[in-house]
Amino acid sequence: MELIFANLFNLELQHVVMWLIGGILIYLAIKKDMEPTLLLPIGFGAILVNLPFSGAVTQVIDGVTEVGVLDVLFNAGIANELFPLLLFIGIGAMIDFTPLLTNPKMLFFGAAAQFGIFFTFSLAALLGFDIKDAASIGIIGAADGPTSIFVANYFNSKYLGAIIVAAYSYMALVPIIQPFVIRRITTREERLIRMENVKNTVPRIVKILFPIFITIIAGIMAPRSVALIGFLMFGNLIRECGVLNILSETAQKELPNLITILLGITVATKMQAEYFLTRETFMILGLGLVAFVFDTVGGVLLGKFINLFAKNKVNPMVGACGISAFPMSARVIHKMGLEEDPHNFLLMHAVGANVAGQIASVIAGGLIMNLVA
Amino acid sequence: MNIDGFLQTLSIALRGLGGIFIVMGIIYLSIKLVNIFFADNGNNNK
Repeated sequence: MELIFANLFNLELQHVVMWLIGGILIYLAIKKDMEPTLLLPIGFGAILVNLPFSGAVTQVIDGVTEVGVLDVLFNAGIANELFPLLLFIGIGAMIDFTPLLTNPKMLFFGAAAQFGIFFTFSLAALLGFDIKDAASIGIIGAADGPTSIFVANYFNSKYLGAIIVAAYSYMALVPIIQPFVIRRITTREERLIRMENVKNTVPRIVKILFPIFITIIAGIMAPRSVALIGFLMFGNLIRECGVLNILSETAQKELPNLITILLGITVATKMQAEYFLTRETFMILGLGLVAFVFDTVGGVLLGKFINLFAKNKVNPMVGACGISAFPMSARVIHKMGLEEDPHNFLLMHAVGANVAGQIASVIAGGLIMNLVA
Repeated sequence: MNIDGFLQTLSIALRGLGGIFIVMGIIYLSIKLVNIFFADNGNNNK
């Protein structure tokens, strides 16, 4: 009996705190529907790895190393960046780039809404983070979980757990963060601007050539982004080629589902109390919010800037969709537009900016790896 | 506060943000060109 309860005496307060954090993540996933596919596995994993001498993670007991299955998964899927890349095939297969191809000006909103990445990068460095950790924290502003994991892992950041929790939490909070910020930096007149309709058809050959061209352009200009953009565009080529429908369906459903199950729980290896319950974690959570806020500001300000010169005005709210949180951001802005004017349909423009953000965030990740490495 | 670290990041941040606009600009031109080149095939869109 004593043997059974012996481990109870190894329990520390910090373990219990991590169980609570895990419980909160599970609660948010189930009750609030906040990114449940990832927050639930991460929350459960946080409990799993914070049991004293948890067999799920590698332990050294009496001088003998006992390898934990989550560490095996981490080395097999995250340390070598395999899981986020496979997830990108699925994301590419899910995205229809037609709204962007019919209105390519939206690409520039994708660029502007990466401002939060670089603002947060500098702010994190100012607050004392090492430059590589600062880059990893800044990339929370990519609003794209796999890119955050990829870049933070590339820089071997010890804050991977906090970065991923921040990235996915704030993505789920886009419907709260973006309207709050947008209302403070736009006037009602700006929010009422109607944008001219664009055609919504694109020749099939253009849709097929697009992923190939993007891969080549991004590969030449930001070679470290090739893996990310290449897998994203490979997934999109499978979707658009028209001859791989079964593969396209698998890439859109089974592949990301399988990877997501493993990714969430594996990420939790970086949520062991001794690494996670630090002052830096709370700073990273704050910096993540800053990144999302300034992404939104960057996109909206570009819209306002364009309106100084353009004959056909743009609704600056559309600029906020340049973040990569797809399709949530586009839906939020479309809804905001309808709240201001029930006859103002911004959805196609918003989706165009949103898919541009998907491309831009990956390129931003590649550029930051090139520039900081 | 790490002022030196902050200053070190400024040029990286400017080059990074500028780099994204340049890449997106080239992608924009590519889409424009491809759209012009294949404009006659507009009905063949499925």
